[in-house]
Amino acid sequence: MSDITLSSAVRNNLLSLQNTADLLGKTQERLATGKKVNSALDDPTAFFTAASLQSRSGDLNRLLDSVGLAVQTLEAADAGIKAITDLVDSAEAAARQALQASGPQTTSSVTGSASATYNPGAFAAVAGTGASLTADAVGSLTFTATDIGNEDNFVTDTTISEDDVLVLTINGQDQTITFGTDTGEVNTGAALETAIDNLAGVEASYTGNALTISGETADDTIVLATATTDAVTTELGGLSEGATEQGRVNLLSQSAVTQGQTLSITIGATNKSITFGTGANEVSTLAELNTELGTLVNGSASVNATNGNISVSAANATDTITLGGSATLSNFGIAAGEFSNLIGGTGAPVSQNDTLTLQVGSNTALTVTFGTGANEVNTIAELNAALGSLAGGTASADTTTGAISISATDTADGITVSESTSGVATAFGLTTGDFASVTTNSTERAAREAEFNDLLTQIDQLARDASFNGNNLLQSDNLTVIFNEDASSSLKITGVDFDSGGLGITAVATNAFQTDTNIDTALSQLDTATTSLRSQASTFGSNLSVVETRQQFTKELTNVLETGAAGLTLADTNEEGANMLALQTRQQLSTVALSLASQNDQSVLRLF
Amino acid sequence: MALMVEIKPGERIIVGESLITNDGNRARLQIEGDAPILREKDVMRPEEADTPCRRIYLVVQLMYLSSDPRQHFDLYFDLIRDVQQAAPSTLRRIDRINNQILTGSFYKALKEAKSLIDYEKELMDHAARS
Repeated sequence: MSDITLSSAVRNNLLSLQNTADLLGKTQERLATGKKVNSALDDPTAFFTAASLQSRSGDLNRLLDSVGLAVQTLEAADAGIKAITDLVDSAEAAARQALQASGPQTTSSVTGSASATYNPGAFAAVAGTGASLTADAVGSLTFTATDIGNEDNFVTDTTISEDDVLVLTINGQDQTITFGTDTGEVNTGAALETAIDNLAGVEASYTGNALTISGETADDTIVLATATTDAVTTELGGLSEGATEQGRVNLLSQSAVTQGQTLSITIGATNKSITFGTGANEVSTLAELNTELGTLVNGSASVNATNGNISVSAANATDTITLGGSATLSNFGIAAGEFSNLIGGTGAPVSQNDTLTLQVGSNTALTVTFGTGANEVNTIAELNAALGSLAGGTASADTTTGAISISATDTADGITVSESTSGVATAFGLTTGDFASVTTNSTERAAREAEFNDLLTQIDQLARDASFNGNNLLQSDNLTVIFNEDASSSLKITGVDFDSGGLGITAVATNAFQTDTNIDTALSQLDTATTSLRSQASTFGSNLSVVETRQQFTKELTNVLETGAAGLTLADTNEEGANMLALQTRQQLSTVALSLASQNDQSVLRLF
Repeated sequence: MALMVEIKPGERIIVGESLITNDGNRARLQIEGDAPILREKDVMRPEEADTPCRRIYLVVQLMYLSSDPRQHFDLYFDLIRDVQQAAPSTLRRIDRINNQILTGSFYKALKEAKSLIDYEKELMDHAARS
């Protein structure tokens, strides 16, 4: 502790020396480094300003990197939105096309198969069956005495006397057989048989010992002549003198017909009537009957020579055969009645009183009754007339195939077919049952629907792919962009959910597009989505603009900061003031003022 | 976020891209929104910008009122580079202008540019005197 008191003069000198020493040191440093400011001690403010400028530049550069990333994230989102908008437009086109295409088609019809058993072109025919007539019915006289064949001595054992006679007029010639014991005379049953057999044109046989004398051919006639002795007639029994059989009269003799009975055949509008009998123009044999039947017009007819079955057929499909007459038609294997190609005849598919019922939806059912009566159907023409009155639909029978086809007027109605007995429906190519209407979906609409759903899948894909650096603004990620080092200035960008669900577009269920209202719903969803997309594109666009502006300023600023820090000089206020004046003049001579003025004129400031 | 402004009769104010003149009595307006607002007393006309720092103010004004500030950046940086070089002590003040522009607060940047003009006047007065 020294207590040195210095005089002011000494103190001043000391200070001045110290300053000079300082100055020397400073000058040497300056000379050495060439920089005017070397350390914080020279000009602390300036030094630290320079240092902070450099570190600030570094900070800002780092900020720039993340701002750059933000720009690219925004651009990825923007590109995603553009692509999604295109897909939404395509989906809208697909939906509109579906709407324009016609929707599902409903049909309700039943078409009879061409293999209908009914043949409208067939000719009506009747084929008799079961007759058992014989053509060559041979006339015969039958004696009923049962014992005549066993007699071995007529003269002794019966009332017949010697020289009694049996006279038969055969084919108009009298033939006499004499009973007796003389040569050539007959006395036993056997001899009687032989004697008769020997006569031409007749034969004899015993049926249970009753004597039957028959003609040899159908043309032979036998008459028991009145010259026959009474005792012979009595003994033979059963017949009276004058009893006659005519072999040719077979129908009558077979009791197939009786004299005067008629057979009537009408085909179409033409009628033929045949009378049975022995008179002129009357028919008594099968052969005569066949000949007569052969003269039929509008068709043909014949009688079977073996059994007497009559067959008739029409020559036109539209003609009906009507059989009648007083004769017992069953003897010829036929029955009275009307016969058409539809009912009754050979191959006719339905019978009298069969019915076919058709019903469309719940409309009045139509029952067609087949038959020959009034309001009954037995021809194709009558069938079509009846079908024409089907309620709720149309029906007709094909005049070639016989198939019936039915279609409903209201395609929502089903068709019901029923029959009174099995076989009626198949006659017309139909099957019984309920036939519901059939709805076929539009293939065009189905294709557009698949397209639509596919596009939604693509939208989902795009939304997922719109990320950059792990950040996806289209899948609800947010982005915060910081503009300065202490994060006091930043921009928060909110993400959105832009997959199909986020946009409010739902995939449609299978066959949804068959219904117009479903397509309308989809279109309205697409509309809303388009609005969202546009609005968001605009928001992202303005966000991008703000970020890019800051980015550019920051880039240029870091540049300026670096050059500023490097070129920092220490000048005193005098120097600075002089520099400013010089700059002012220089600027006036340059284009700066001009460009400032022109930029000014393009803004609202021009109004000032 | 509403800005209250009072305009005297005959006074003008820029709001966005429009120039509004008060034709009648003293009016009090409440202005909301992001549009730039500049009162008449804050407007600098090109003929008034005859010094380097006034020109800086003019460019910042243009940036504030413009829809795309980017078009003015080149000119701005040229001007501040020149001024920085001529008078390094302006650096801090220029930096403050930059920060405001960086964070998008152009109105505050304009205010900082105004204080820069005042400082420039000091420098030039000093030089003129000595």
